[in-house]
This record gives sequence, C-alpha cells and structure tokens, in this order.
Amino acid sequence: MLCFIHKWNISRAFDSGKPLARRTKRHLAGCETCRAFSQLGEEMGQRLTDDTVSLLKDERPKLGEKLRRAIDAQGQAASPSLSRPKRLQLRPVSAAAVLLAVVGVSLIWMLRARPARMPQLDPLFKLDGPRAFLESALQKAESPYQQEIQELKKTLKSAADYLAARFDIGLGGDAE
Amino acid sequence: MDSTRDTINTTDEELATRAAAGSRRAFEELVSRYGLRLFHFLRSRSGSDEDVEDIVQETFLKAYLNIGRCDPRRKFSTWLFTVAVRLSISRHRSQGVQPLPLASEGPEHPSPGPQEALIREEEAGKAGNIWLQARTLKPSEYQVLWLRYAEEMPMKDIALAMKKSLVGVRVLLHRSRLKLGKKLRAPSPSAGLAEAATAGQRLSIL
Repeated sequence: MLCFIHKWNISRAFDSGKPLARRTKRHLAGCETCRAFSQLGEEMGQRLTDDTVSLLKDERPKLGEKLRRAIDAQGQAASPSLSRPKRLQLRPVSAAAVLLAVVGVSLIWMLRARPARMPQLDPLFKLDGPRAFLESALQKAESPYQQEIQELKKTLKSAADYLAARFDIGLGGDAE
Repeated sequence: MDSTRDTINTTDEELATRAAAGSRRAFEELVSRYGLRLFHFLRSRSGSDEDVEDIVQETFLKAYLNIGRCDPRRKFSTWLFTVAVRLSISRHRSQGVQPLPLASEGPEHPSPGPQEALIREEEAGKAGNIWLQARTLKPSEYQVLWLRYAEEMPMKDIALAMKKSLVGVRVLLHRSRLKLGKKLRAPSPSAGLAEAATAGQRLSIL
C-alpha cells in the first residue's frame, strides 16, 4: 500500500545517515517486504563497499605512455596564475546590466537638447588691441538674432528709399 | 624536489596544487591514485576496455592542462570525476554512439545486445563481485552507486559531478538500489534458460 513511501524513507536514511522516522519504524515492524528491502539495502551497501577493495586490488597504473607523450607535447600544466581570474569572469546577467547601462547613458547623452552657444566675449575684452579690432570682434560676437534684425533694418530702409524715390513721398523727417 | 614518501603521504588537493605549480611527480601520483578508479567508474559508459582507457587518458590530459583551475579548497576527486563524466558523454556524442544523457537514459546499457548482456550477467554471477552485477544497470545508475559506495562521496559532491540536483541524486540512488536488489534476488537468465531447456526435454520425454 504505502510501502513505496517507506522504502523511499529507508533509502533516504541510508544516504543521509539519519535515523528512520518513527512512522517508518512502526511500519517496518509489521511489513515483511519493507524489512527485507531495508536488510537488503544494508547488505548491498556493505558489499558494494567491500567489493570495491577487491576490484581495485589490481596493479596501480602508471602514467601511460600515450598520456606521457601527450603531456610532453602540450608542455607545462596551466599554473594557477595563468588560469582565468575569477573577478573577470563576468556573469551573463551582470554583463548584460553593464551593457544596458552603457547604452542608456550614451543614448541620453546623444538625445540631450543642446542650446545654441553664445560665443564667449570675456576673452575678447581682455585683449589690448585697437578699438577697431574690438568692435569687429564685438560685431562678430553678436547673436544671430541681432544680425538678422540688422539685415531686416537694412532691407526695410532700402525699400523705403526706393518707394520715396519712385512715388516722391516724404517719409518722416525727410518731408521738409 | 618531491620525494616519493612525500607524495604518498600528501592529500590529493596538495598534490593538485603541486602539479599546478609544475610538479610532474605530483601529477603522476594523482594518476596512480585515480587511474584504476576512473577506469572502473567509466566502464559502464563505454563498450570496450580500450575505449575506457582512452577516455581515462583523455581525462587525465584535460585535468593536467586545466589543473590550475581546480580549486584547492574543494575536493580534487569531485573535480576529476566531473571532468570524466563530461568527457565520456561528449565522446559518445562525437562518435555518433547513442547519446547517454545523465538525466534520462534509454537502454539499460549502451552497447550490448541480448547475447552480450547474457554473457555479462553470467560473468557477473560467476565472479561474485557485486560491481559486475551493477555494471548491467543503466550507466547513470552504476555511476551513482560507484560514487556513493566506492568513492564514498558526499551527496553534494555526487550531485556536482553528475550535474544533478540533490533530490535527483537521491532518487537515482533509490532506483539503483531497487534495481540491483531485484537483480541480486532474481535467478540468472542463463540458469533460467537452462531450466527451461531441461523442462522442455522432460516434456519431450514425457
């Protein structure tokens, strides 16, 4: 009936070295099959251990000629220092995490909005060059918006001049 | 320089450390300690003795080349048997022999046909050595018994060497004991055949 469970318990006791459970002990008292299994298991274990000795009584093998030649061909054994250091053995999960972090950081860096930079003026002011040089430097340093406004002013002024010349109308202070 | 007495009295792990440092003598001592053990351990997985010897030599060569990777805090025997198990499996696969995975196995024994199995059981019965009888079990069943009783390895190390869980090893051991017990109790098949033949003769006489 439940013999298979008790047989498993008996087997487990053989391997763990722990005493049998009370319930299994009680079962053993009444079940001949399990008692036989337990007895056979013990005897078998003893025989397996004892017979190993007779099996290994043969002559101790020497380093085979083939093996000797192979070792000679391969050279020295790998010394512990030559073996792969354990710290460098990145496990796949940690390697993947590091890779992900690197990709993430580089993506953020690439996609980050970069404001248009204004040219630095301070170094230009520090120069002791002539005024004209400084002025031209300042002009260069103007922002693109200001340059655009200047261009627009010039265009408007030329348009106004053209209209004044064409239709003979005075604009502003030129009316006099 | 190592003296013979030194190498005999030292532990496997110390010898392995010395071998890793370049001592050929220390490695030779390890070979002499484990050569025959490995031979018997691998016998269940290979057909002929020559094949087994080849795998044993290959195991030692691999062990020699990688001995620097053997952790001296752990048992050398566990590491060596692990190497042997993996090599024997890959050898079978590369040769195109029916693969013998450790987890679930097909035939009772890799090579023998019914006749050879009969001869093997006969030999086992004659010799009286329980290991010869155990060799008729599945390779993994034989090997787990070998590691447990011949090598007296702790369960944890057996699990490591055979690449199984602790429960897996316990189940395998239990199954192996049940099977071996049945084989030991059962009359030999040849004896059965002989009995059947005698019975047939009797019948024909009658």
